Amino acid sequence: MHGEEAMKYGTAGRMWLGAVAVLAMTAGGCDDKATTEESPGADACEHFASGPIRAITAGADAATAADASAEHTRWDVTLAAVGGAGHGFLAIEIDAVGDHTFFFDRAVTLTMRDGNGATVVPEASATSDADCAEVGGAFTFELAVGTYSLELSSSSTDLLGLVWFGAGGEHEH
Amino acid sequence: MHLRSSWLGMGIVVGAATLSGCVLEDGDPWGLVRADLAIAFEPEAGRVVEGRLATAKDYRVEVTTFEVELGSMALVAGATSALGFDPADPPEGYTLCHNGHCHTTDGRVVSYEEIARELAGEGAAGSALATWSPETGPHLIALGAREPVSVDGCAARGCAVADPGSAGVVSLQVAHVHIVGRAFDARTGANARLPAEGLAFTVDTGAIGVAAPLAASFGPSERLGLALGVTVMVPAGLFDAVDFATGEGLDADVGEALASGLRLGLEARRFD
Repeated sequence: MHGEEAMKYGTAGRMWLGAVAVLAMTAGGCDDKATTEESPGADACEHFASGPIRAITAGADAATAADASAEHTRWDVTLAAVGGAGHGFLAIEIDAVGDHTFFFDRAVTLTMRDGNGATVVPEASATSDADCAEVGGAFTFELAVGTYSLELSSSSTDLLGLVWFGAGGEHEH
Repeated sequence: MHLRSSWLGMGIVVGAATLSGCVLEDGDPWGLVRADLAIAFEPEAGRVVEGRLATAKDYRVEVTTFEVELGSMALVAGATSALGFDPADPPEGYTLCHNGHCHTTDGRVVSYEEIARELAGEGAAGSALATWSPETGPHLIALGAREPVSVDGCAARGCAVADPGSAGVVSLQVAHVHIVGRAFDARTGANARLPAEGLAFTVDTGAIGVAAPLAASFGPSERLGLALGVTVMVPAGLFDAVDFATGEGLDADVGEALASGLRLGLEARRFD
């Protein structure tokens, strides 16, 4: 008689997560929850403080927008001076459908447009984050796979800090 | 060969055989491993728009032929714990691990799962506990479909594992991927980069090794059998780096995307 017993993880995806959790706990003996349940604001704060840091000069228009596609990175953005204020364009490529949040270290005006120039309306915006005192502006957009431009306007031409990333999973409205 | 039941008490086995008049047979090995294999090209929701694959550079790719040729598959010995890592003390080449991801010294952001896979790839050079020979193909896979692949070798009763120990990695060689398709532009009007009828293309890649970690042990306190369901998962973003308007680097871009994005999905069951 050959009795079969499914292992703990019945699907490929769950098997992966389970295997990795076992690996991490076995090797490090650490609390997995402590490293995986950080809030988006706290995650952004880590990157504002520790980087990795990349310097970038925003383009003058959507056609010359500078590529800021790397997520989980602190982008130090140089904006052009326009009448004493800062202004410029960045471009990002999105490879997963879902919510994406953009954190800035001071208040900015952000206009998101898709590849055809259509404006994308944010699902949420804020001028602070309870888990990160450095945040002066935050915007969450639900984005499809594709390329987008970010038009940024700020009252100052000082270097502008940006950290952005996708939620990495399904969400509820 | 080590016999799984021999140390448990050959006296009992011999006594029972003598009483019943049966002829003693060889005992079981330390383990039996068998495997089923499939290839899946199943992008997540939102990646397929009107039957075409959406890309990060705003193209829509109509895949007319997607063929995969396979090499050998193996269950490789190794301590699974050696493939793990401590986010507070990540392995060489990784840094700033938090909230489920790390950064690499070459500028990538990688999840803990990806790091485990990368470490598994390094562990795939160990000795094989069991090997399989998938039907070479080419296997024709439709967008959104999953196709089973016949496996010779350890598919039915299973391959014997001769010595007690632990498996650490499942590895598979993808010998060649051949893609024929047509790219269309998602941008319209003055923003369009391709003609309305799109642009025909062909891609051929070199061999790609794929590996995934698997914790399984064979020995006196373990169940005898291990049945593996292995799925080669084609990444949805295989065309993300391709700028079809320039017509440059197509084979290299897709080859790199497959080399970094192909995954092995594993489902494992133990049996007696």
